[in-house]
Amino acid sequence: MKGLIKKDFLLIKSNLKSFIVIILVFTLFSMKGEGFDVSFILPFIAIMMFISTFSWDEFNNFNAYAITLPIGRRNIVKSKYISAIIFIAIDTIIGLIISYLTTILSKNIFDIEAILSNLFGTILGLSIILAIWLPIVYKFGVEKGRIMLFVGVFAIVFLCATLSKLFDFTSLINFLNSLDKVLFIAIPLASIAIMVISYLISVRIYLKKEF
Amino acid sequence: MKNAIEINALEKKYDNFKLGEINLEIPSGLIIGLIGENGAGKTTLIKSLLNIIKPSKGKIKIFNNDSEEMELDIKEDVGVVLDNMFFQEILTPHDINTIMKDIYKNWDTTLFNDYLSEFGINFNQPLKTMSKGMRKKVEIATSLAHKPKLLILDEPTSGLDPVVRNEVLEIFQKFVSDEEHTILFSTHITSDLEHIADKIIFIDKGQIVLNELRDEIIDNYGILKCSLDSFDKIDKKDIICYKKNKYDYEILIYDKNKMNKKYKDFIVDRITLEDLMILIIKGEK
Repeated sequence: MKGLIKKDFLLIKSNLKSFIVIILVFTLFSMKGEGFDVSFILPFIAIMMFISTFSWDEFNNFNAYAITLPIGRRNIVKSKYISAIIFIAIDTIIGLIISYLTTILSKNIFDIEAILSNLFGTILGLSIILAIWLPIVYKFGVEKGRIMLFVGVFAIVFLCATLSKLFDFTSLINFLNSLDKVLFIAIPLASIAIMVISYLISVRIYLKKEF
Repeated sequence: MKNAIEINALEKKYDNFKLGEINLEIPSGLIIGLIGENGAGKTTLIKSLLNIIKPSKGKIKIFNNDSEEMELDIKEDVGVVLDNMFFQEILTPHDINTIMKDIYKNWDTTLFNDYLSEFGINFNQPLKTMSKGMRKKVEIATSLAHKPKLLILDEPTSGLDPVVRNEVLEIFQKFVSDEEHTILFSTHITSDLEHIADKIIFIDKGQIVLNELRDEIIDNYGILKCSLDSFDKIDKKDIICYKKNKYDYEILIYDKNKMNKKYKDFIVDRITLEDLMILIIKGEK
């Protein structure tokens, strides 16, 4: 299993340069703009990196070969989930470091609390998206999965926008804000729980899959 | 002799194709050639052996263990080359080594490096910049570097030029010189098998139509040639199958010596695996 996680890391190197460029561009933005922090964008880059590893596996028929190795289907799926978590964790830490350095450089105050609460929301959102997306990819393949990801994210954004026009959520948001400390613990736990459920579904799909 | 693989009443059904029922024993220590047309079921059989697809019914044992129950233990001792390229093309042989040493318990980096140097392959060259033949060689080196007992190779020599093909076949021969080692090797380049296979398994339309030692095939089968008007002189029960050409008939016969004596006026030719394959597939009964 460790081998497969290493493989996912080795696969990023092909688009590492473009990811670094994206990060640099956003770093410059965040130094100029107000209220925008670069650390917010890094988890998204982690997801893009992660999806690219799926594309390579599928594009070069690695999936059938992986079955012939002494790993087992369950562990093949597990390694992907672990890769996703490691990617997000590393990118988030890198984001925080860049964010810290840029605020110091531009002589602003590094408001760790505001950054973290934003980041936590992002990570929760991403784990929900990933948790839904991964079983879909295992079922339908990465190309269809990619389309569904776009359609899904678009649908969620559209739905939220519509709902926020129809109803007044200020009281809900205020309520959530009052739970600040609780959410600090609850959100990581919720993310983990969602990922575990998603993993169990993916394994069920993968155990039956033929290549 | 021990069996490397035992297949019992294996069947795999698809909408438009059915493999089996297959019953097969593959003794260890031999090179087994699996031949047949494209679409005859070679890859389906190989994928069933490797759990890539799930058989509709039947049991497979490898090294005398159930292929599903003992899957991971078995796979530690099996080396595989699939018919399609299967490494992500941005990886280098060096990357493959990094990945594989954490996957196989017995992965031997030195051995892997030795094979690559023998094949003249640069360690740090991404696979996508290599020729098809070089990529195949990287795959073959990978399949050998964890010192497997059984090699399962789907079309390992297709796309290789004759020189490289010979190198690869020599490596295969060296591999089985140890009595414990077995190779199951599918190909449609039948001339490869004439050099190295000990046994030939011939699959046609999802069924095994022939499973014999190569020497016995070459010694016993023959092609009897006769002109169009003398075809009736041949005893029907001596004809396994035949093919009508423009000027003559080619008849597949068994027991070449006996036939030579019986039909003194006709020529009985030595058979090649290719002739045999074509006659069995295209011939009439």
